[in-house]
Amino acid sequence: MNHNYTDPDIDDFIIPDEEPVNNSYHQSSQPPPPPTNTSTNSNTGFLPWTKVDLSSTFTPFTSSKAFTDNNTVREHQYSGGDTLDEPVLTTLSRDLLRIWKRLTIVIWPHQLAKLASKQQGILIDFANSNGINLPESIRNRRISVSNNDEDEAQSTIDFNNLDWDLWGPLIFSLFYSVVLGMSSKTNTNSVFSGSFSFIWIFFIVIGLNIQLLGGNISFMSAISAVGYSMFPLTVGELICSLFIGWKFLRLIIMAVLCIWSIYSGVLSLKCSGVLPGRVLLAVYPVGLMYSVLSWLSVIT
Amino acid sequence: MSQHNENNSLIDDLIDNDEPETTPMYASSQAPQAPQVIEPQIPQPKSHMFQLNFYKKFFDLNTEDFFEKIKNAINPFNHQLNLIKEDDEEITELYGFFWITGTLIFLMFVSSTGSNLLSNWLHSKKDKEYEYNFDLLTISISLFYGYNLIVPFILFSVTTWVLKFPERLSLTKMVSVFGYTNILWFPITIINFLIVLLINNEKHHTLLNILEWIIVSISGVVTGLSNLSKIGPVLLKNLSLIGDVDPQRNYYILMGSLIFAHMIFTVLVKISFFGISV
Repeated sequence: MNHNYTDPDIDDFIIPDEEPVNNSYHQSSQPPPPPTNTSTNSNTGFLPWTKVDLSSTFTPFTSSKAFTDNNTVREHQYSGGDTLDEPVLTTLSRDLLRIWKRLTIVIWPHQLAKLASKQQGILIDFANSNGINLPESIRNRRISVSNNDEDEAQSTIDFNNLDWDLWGPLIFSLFYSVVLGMSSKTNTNSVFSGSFSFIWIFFIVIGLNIQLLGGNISFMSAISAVGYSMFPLTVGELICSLFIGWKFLRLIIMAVLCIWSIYSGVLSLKCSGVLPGRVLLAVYPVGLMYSVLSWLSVIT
Repeated sequence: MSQHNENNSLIDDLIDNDEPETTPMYASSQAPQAPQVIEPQIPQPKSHMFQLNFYKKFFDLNTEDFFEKIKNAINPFNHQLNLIKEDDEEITELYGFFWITGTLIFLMFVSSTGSNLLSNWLHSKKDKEYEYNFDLLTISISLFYGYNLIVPFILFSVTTWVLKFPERLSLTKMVSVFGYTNILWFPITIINFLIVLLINNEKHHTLLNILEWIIVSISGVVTGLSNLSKIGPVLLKNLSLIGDVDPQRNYYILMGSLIFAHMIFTVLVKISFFGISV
């Protein structure tokens, strides 16, 4: 086991990341929860071990109650709040306002640019301090831990706007397929059902794809981001099928709107945290899907 | 000194813990020397095929590697691939297969519908407007994904369970080879536009049809050769390893059926995507 490759700097990289978490864990949970007993003992007894198995040392934390209590998960479903004793109209208007807020991000995606670059910076720092290629087993947990350490307070407001809900994807996919079906003269039914199922299969595949590539973005929030970013496309489709008959003009309009959609989709996904080296790979299918949809609305 | 040694190996463990299996091995070998250390319970990231984590290893890919692979795939006679399953080798990713095929489907659909529209707009005197067929999208999805999955799978099952190759072919690698070969179809989707742009379908219908048959068959031959040149040597090597009486005969049968499947596929591509219907 005597290797000639020794670099003391690696220790410097690893320790600061880990020690605070370790300490806080020990302070916060004086009576350690049953499943983590063995590892807690070993951690206190023999410190270098904590540096070795990042995967093993983090599992107790992520699975323990202390971790789940102390660390709020940043990305969650939007769930209205207490809606029992308030009028229905209030609830509705609040939810609609919510969807509208999410939409404004899509309409003017540039407001996310700063957040996205910051988020990517965090991820890149994280990747650098861990060697070039991140080991698969550690990746997700490590990202979530390091994210929670840093600038939580600044970005909560922005992140609240990125909570996922499926209203946007549902509304836009329905709207898109209805318009596409109506504007097709011969086979309305098959076009509607085909495009609707096509969109949702694509949503699912894109969500899975992002999950498989790694990153700390959840399946549902990926679908939500992709679905909301469809908004420019649906608007363009409506305009094209109502007012514009000339296919060439349609092509130009849809190309512009498609780029808009892709841009806002990319920024949303970047904020949610796709791994730095793989943003293009995660985003490419989204671009492909938007291109298919825009082409369909051009030729219908 | 021993502490130092240990530190060395610890650092090393940090560096190359790409393979999670090394950790328990190392721990067990160290255990007698340092019995006072209580091992942390290492939960292996075990996952079976109905969990998402199982498929994560097939998508472990960075953007740069992906472009490198695409560059390799553009040259149809690149023999750098090793199709035989080896444990120490990295697992092939399926991202390329999935999304390159997806892109090809999109391009074929655009090329087919777009060229029809273009022809209708430029050359057609009739008032009849071109109405695209939505089923074309469904057909193309099943055709391309079907061919690129089913043929490698059949080849894999025949070589593994019928002929019993000593060195198993890797199914994922074959699928990946077929997927990356699809890049070679891309040029004809653009050439198709040019042909339609330059040749009037109503006046020179036969000429246009012949030209399209030619471009499709050229791409068919190139992609087919690309696949065969990667799969062929492995097949021949394995067949001679079996100690068959006549390895050449089996080799020709396998290659012949692959060629036949590819020919059918090419013809289907021509019929479904190329040609002006209006």
